[in-house]
Amino acid sequence: MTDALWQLPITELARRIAARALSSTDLVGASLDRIARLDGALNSVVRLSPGALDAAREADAEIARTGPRGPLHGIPIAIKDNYTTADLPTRAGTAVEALTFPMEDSHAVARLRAAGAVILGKLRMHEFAWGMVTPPTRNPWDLARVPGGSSGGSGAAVAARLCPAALGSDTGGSIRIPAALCGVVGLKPTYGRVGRSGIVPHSWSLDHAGPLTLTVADAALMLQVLAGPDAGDPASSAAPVDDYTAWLDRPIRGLRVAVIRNHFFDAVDDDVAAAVEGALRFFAAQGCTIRDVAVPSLRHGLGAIYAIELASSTAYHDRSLTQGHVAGFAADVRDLVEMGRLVTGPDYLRAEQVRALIMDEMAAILAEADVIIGPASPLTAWRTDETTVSIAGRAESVLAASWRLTYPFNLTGLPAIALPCGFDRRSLPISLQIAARPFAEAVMLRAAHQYERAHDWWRRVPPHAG
Amino acid sequence: MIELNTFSIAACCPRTGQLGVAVASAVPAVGGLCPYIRVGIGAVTTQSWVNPYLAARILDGLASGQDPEAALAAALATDDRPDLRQLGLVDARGTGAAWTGTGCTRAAGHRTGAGYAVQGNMLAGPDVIDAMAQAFEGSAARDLDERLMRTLEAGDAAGGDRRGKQSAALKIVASEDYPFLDLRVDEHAEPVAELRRVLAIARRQLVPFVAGMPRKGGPAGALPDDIVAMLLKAPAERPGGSLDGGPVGAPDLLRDVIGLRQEPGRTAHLLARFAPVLAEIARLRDLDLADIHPPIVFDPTLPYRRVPHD
Repeated sequence: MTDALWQLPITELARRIAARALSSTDLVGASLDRIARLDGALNSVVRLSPGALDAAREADAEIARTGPRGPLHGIPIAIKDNYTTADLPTRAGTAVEALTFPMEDSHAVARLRAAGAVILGKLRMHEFAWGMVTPPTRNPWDLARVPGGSSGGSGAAVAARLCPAALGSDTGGSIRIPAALCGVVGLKPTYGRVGRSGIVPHSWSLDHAGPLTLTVADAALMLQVLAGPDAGDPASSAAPVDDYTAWLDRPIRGLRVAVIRNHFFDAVDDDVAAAVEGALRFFAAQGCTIRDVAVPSLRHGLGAIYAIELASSTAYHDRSLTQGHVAGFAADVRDLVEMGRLVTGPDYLRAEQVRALIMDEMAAILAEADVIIGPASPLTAWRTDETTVSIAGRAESVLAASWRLTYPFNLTGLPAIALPCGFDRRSLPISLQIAARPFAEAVMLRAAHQYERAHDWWRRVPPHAG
Repeated sequence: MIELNTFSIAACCPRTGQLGVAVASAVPAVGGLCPYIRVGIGAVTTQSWVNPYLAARILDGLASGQDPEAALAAALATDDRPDLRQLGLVDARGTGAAWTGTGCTRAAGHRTGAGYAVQGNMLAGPDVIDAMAQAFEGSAARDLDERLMRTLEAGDAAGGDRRGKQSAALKIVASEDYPFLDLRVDEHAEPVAELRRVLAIARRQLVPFVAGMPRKGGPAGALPDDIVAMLLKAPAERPGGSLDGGPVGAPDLLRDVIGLRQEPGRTAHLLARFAPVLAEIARLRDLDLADIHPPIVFDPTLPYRRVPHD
């Protein structure tokens, strides 16, 4: 029964559950067993839900009576610890005990429960989603390496097949970076597509909620459940929700692909660049048109996201600043929260103006293209003791490098997905990034799914998941 | 003859007509050897296996009406080893010219553009020249001292001289026969950063003094009283000095205006951590964005749309 159950994506698990060939109780039990066996070294789980097995039994009873509510019914899903949950405390990665968060389900968790998913527990993250390394979590491909962040627990847990899916949040790349470094699929939907009420804010106009999964089809299933209006999130959109799975297998002949050759290819590891060029050749061979383009204003992107993210985060944490709680923050996070004060009002608004420039240039590209394709990360997972790396002969801090290719899609709010596209010389996963027009998740997922189906990189299991 | 492996810029301000040179190197006291500036004529930097006479000949050529390329070529023609020389210059109209001899130590190169010439040899890589040119071109709204300083900082950040660092200098001539600014850091582990510090003090303590000095063709006169009063104080007590508390009753900018309420040591730490972030944000300040509406759209209907959370 537990024959490599853990290796299966949700699409297959859901099929077996619907056919009564698999029970949620067995599936959740298998997840808990794997966590007990493997997570001591990975450190991806903060806390397990004590009611998970009960919830699985309830799911089984309901499925036996009336069939599954949908493909997530009975599926164990773990949650980044910045989403509030009714049955588990939320810590958002902080050790400051005076800071507490409501014991109620965030919008996304409530949607998952309504779809019948079993909430397995909470996953580790960098404190308040600042930073991209997620200590002490380790990468299942190499325990000496970081999983990326800030949703590092989500990336490590899905990659190690502790659970088939997890929720993450993405302000500058925090879903896609750990997905890239851990070799799983990370989906950041369009800004506003998935409601964020109940997620501890980091930077209101950059924060996105989304899933990490093994496959693109599973990401589509998750998005189908998560997408839609959220009365508690003023940024959530009432735009109609597409059927994300219906079109996944339709051919992509004629799809127009744009490749942003500046910024995204400025300093990229040779193995990463080769894998991405290989992926582009695949799309060309499928009958897609490939066009090289440029987004010149991205040279000001880093200044823009710094100003917006720092100022917003400091505004959110103002109470912790005045009450002295920041003294208990990790040193790097405390620095960031305190220095955000130094971003002036005009700097913040100029950053927003620059954001408009970047949005306009991206929109002009997407007027003549359906998707933008490039690398998700210029480097693969780095060692926990590395602070700078040499990429294409140029020294860069790993933190600066890690979000360089992801934050443009936080500034523009465009949907973007990271998915495996090969392995480097150290057998570490390489990741492809595909973005699309606002609310065009369906075409983005279709392109990603077609690539994935032809390559099946996701089937390769990390050494620390056996 | 000394080999001055160096990165530098010679430039002209299109608004004020100021001419200047900024230079950094891994030899001591580079400011005494490379920059040559003549008011209203041009600015030259001579480096690599340095021949100072070439700079004088170029300035003579410019003074006699030659354009920069012609003046440079004529000066090099008088030298029996032009392959060892590196020169950069601008004339008072902002036309740049540069020469990098084939015998200069790699990476070596130069670039000229509107109002400037950047050049260097024995560099960490070709990026140094690109970074310097970009810093100069990207700061057109700034005064020449700031543009030269940023150009040097960009070269330094891109790797600078591959042997390390030792000295740096910034010299600007305005309309007088004496320099408007002539700052040198002759021996220091971080000469470019130290030059930035010296520049900040010079702007507050020296520039007002130089502005009050006798002018060509005008009455010599005396310094304004407030400048005299400032110079009678000990350096540490002047504006920008280490004991400068600002005018009595004036707010502490960081503490009272910005709201950064930290111990002095902590403030210094945060400012240091913020410096690279600020470098990115400061570039936004140089853009002309007046016609761009930010993508922030105020929605007065928000509170009416909200329904009770279920």
